[in-house]
Amino acid sequence: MGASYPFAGIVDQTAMKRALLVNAVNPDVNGVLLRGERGTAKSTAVRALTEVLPKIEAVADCPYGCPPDDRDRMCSECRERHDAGADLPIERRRMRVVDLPLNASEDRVVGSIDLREAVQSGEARFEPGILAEANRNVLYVDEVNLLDDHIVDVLLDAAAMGENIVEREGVSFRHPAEFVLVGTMNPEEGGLRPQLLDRFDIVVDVTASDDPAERVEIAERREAFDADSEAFRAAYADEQRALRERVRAARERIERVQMPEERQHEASYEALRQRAHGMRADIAVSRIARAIAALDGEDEVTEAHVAEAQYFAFPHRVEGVAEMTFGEAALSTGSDEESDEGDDDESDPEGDDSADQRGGGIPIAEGEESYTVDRTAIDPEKDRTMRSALARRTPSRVDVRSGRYVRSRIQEEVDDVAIDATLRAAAPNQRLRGREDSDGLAIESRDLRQKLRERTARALVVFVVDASGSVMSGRQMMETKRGLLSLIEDAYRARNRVAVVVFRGESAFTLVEPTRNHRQAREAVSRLTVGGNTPLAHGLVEAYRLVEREKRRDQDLYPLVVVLSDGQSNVEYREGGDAKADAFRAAALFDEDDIPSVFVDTGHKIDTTPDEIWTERKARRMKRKRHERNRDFAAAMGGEYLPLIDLPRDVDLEALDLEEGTA
Amino acid sequence: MTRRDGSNGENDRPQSMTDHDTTDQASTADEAASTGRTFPFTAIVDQAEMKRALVLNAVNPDVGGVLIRGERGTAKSTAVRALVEVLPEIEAVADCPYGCPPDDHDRMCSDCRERHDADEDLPVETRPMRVVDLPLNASEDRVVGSIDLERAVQAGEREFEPGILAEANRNVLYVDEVNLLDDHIVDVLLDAAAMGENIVEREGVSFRHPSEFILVGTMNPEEGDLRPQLLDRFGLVVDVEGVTEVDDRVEISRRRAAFEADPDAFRIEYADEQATLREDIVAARERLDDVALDDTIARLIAGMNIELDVDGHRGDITLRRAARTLAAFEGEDEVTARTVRHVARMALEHRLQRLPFEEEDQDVMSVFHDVRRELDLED
Repeated sequence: MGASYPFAGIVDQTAMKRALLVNAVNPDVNGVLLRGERGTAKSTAVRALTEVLPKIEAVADCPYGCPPDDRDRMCSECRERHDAGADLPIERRRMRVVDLPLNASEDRVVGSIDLREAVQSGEARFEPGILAEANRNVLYVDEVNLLDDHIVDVLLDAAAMGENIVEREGVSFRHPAEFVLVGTMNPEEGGLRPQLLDRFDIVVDVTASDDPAERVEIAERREAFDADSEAFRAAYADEQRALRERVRAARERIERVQMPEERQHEASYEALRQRAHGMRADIAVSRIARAIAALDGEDEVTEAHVAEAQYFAFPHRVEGVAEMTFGEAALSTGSDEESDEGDDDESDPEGDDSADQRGGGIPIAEGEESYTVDRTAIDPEKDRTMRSALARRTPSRVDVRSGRYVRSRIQEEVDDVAIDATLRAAAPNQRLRGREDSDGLAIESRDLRQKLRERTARALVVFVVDASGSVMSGRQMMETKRGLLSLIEDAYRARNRVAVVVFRGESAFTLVEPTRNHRQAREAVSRLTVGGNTPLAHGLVEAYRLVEREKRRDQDLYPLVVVLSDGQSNVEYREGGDAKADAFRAAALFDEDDIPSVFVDTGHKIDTTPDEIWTERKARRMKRKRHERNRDFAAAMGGEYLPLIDLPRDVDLEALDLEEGTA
Repeated sequence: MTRRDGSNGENDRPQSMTDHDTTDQASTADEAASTGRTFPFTAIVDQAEMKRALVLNAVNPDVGGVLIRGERGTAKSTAVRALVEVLPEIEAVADCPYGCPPDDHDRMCSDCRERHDADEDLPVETRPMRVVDLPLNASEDRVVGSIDLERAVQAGEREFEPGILAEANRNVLYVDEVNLLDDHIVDVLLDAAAMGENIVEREGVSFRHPSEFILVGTMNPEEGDLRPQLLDRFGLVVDVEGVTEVDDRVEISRRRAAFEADPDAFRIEYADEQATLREDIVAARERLDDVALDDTIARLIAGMNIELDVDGHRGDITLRRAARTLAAFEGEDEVTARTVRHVARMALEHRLQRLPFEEEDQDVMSVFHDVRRELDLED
C-alpha cells in the first residue's frame, strides 16, 4: 500500500533484476518466472519494476491503449478510425504492472457485460477486464503455481493469440491482449503446469543470501524503508533516474542491435546439444541476448551476451532439467556438463548418499529412478467410478459450498446461486420485461446461474511406508524405494497431493505432510533410513488420523492409502496386545470408513532372508503363508492387494490385474 | 466449544486406538462473551511466553502477528481478547468503513485519500482496537467482501460491500484453528497480510482497500500442521502447554471462579496492573525508534539465520524487530545478546526446515550460543 520500494535499492539479486530489466527493454521476450523460497524480495522486485518501465505511445481514449501506428495490433475500433484516416489522439504513458490476484474470478479476468448499460438500455456492452488492462503492459501473477486451472487456460490462450476472445453471457467480443507475463512462485507449494512453464522465456531461481554482511544490509535497508519510505526513496532517486534512462535508451537501441550469424549458430547449436524442447529456446535466447546487449549499451551481440541469455532461457526447457529438479542452474556453454552456479544443496546426490549410509539406509542416486509410470490407480475415470461407488455406501454430502468460486454455469437445478452472473443474465432483458430504471431488476428462473467452485484438493495419496529392519534386505528396500518414487512421480503427473507416513521401531510418524510438492516427498523418501521393529498398527493409525484430518478440511477429498510393507508386524499397539491382531484391527478402520486402499506387498518373492535355518519345503510354506496373510490384510482394509514385484517398470496401474484380497 | 467442522471433538476418533488428554483451563472467553466483560490480561496465570509474544505485537504490530500452538483450554482465546484492552486507542476517520488513520496518507483508502488531498476536514474519532473474529465457516465473499446485492438488484450498480478483511483493518484479526481453514481462504489472508491491502477482483467487483491487522492465529498441532507458506507469515510462534504445576492450576481455578462470580470486582483487583501495562506499552512505542541495534548484534542475528538455514530473509527481519521491540518494552536503549535470546525461539522456531525423523542437532538456542560465542558476545 502506498509507496513502493525502489528497484535500485534491492540488494544483490543480480540475475533477478537483470531478467526483469530485459523484459522492460524487449517486450517480445515472453516474461519472467521468479522461483524461490519465500522472503527473497521476488514480489518486491516486480512491483519495484513499475517505476523503471519505459514510456510508450498509446491511443489516448482507447481502453486497450492501442499502439497508434501499428495497425495489426490495434483493437477493432482503433483500426476503423485509423483506416478512415482519423487523427488518433496520442499520449505518452508509462508501462505499468497490472495485478492478477489469485482469487480473481473469470469474469473479472476476461471481462463481461456492462451491467448498468444493460439495465438502462438493454444493450449487451462489453466491459473490459484485467486482460484488457494488461494489454501492452506487464501482467503480474504472484504465486502463479496456485492459479486456478481455468484462469491459467484463459491466460495461455490470450498469450498465444495475443488476443482475448470473449464469448459469454450474451457478449461476443475480442480485443488485443499482449502482455509481458511475470510470475513468482515458491516451488514448495507445488509445480507449474508444463504448458504454463513453457510460456515463460526466462526462469530465475532466487535464493537468500549466505553472506552475513549482505543479510545485515538487506535487513537494515528494509527497516529504513519501513521507517520512512519517502526519505529512503529520495536517497535512491538518482539511481532510479539513471536506471530509467538506461532502460529507455536500451529500448531505442534494440532496433539496431545486430545478432551476428555465428552467435545465432552458437545459440542453436547449444540448444540442440542440451536437447531443448522445440524452437522456443533458440528464439528466446536471441531475443534476450539482444536485450542484454542493448542494456549494456552495445550494438552487437557477443558471446557473453549469448551465454547470459542461455542462463536465463534454458533451465526450464532443457530435457532432464525440468522443474522437478529445480535448483540446478543453467548449463554453461563450456565443455562441462553442469554449472556450479546456484547449486542447491538439496539436490546434491552425494550428500544424500553419505547421510543414508551413516544411518544404515540404502541410498538411491538421483539418476536411478527411471520409471515412467503413466497412471496411478487414481485415473479420473476410475476416480468417478470409485466415488460413485463410495457414494452408494456413504451418505452424500448435501452442503458442498466450499471451495473458491471461479465461474458460473447454466444448469437445470441451481442451488448455489452465482449472483453476479445471474444479474448479468437478467440485466439486458429488463426493458423487455417492462422495467424502468428505478424498479429494481426482474429476475426470472432462467437467469439463474450456478456457482462452479474449485475444489482445493483432488486426490490425496497417502503412502504408508514400512521402514523396519525386516525390509533392510538390500533388494527389498531398493525395490520399495523405487516403487515408491515412481508412484509419487505418477501422483505428480496426475496433479494429486501426496503424503508419506513412516513406521519403524516402536512408532509411526508423518514424514511428509499432504503436499503438492512431490520433489520434497521424493527427497524425503530418498533419505529414509531403516531399522528396528515393525509397528504396522501404529503406521495405519497414523495414516488413518491423517486422512480424517484432511477430510475435515475438505469434505470432497478423495483419499487413497497405499501401504508398502511385508506385513511382518511385531509390535503390539498397546501393552498386552498382540501385534498381528492389532494390525488387523487398525486395518479395519479403513474398511469401516470406506477409505480406498492398496496393500503393496514388498516381501512377496522379493524377500531374500536367508533360508538356511529352514528346509526348502518349510521355507516355501512360510512364504506362502505370509503371502496369504498379506492378502487377508488387504481384504481387512477393504482394499486391493498388489505384490511389489508385479509393479513393472512402465506400469499402467489401471490396466493391471489387481488381485482382490480374499477373505 | 464446537469445532470448525461442527463436531465437539470427542467422538470422531477411533476410541480404542487413540487417546486425548485435554485440560480445559478456561472457557473463560465464552464466559466473558456472555457477561460482556473481559478477563484482565494481567490476571492470566503463567504462560509468560505467550503473553510476551502478544505484548510485543501490541507495542509494534510490524512484528507480524502470533501463532499460538497448543492443546485446547490453554487460555489462548482468553489472552487474545484480553490483549485488546491493553492496546492503545487509535484515531480513525469516523465515517469510513475501513477506519482509516486521519493523517497517514499512504495507508488511507481511496475515498479518504481523495478527501484528504482536497484538504477536507476529516471527522476523527478515538476508538479502542478490537478483536475481529474469522468465523468457523466463513465463505470467501464474507472474508473478502463482495457485491452489494441490494444496490445491484435495485439499480444495476455494482458497489463493493466490505467483508471481514475490511473490518479487520487497524484491528486484531483472530483466526481460531487456523490449520483447519480452507486453503483458498488462507491464500486470501496471506495476500492481505503481505500487502496490507485487500485486492478484490471477482464477482463483478474490482476494488481495493487497506487491510492491515495484527494476525493472531491459534491451532492445536495434533490436528494437523499449517502450510509452510502460512506459517512463515506469522512473525512469532509460541507453543503453549497445559499447566502442570498443581499450585498454578489451583490459582487458575480460583481466579476463574472469582471472575465468574463478580467480574466487575475481579477486574477492579487488577485495575492497577492493567494500567501499568498499558502505560508500559505506550512508553515502549515511543521509545522504539530510538533503540539501537549495533553491527555485532546484527551479525549475530544474520549468523543464526544462516546457520539454521531459514528460508529467505524474513527470519532476520522479524528477529531484529522483535528484539528491538522487547528492548523498548524493557526500557533499554539498545539490543543486547540477552534480548535476542529472549525472542529467538519465538521468531525462528517455525521457520526451521526439519524432517521429523532426522536427528535434530540444530535447535534455535544452541545455534544462538554457538554464533554468540563466535562473535565473542556476552549473554
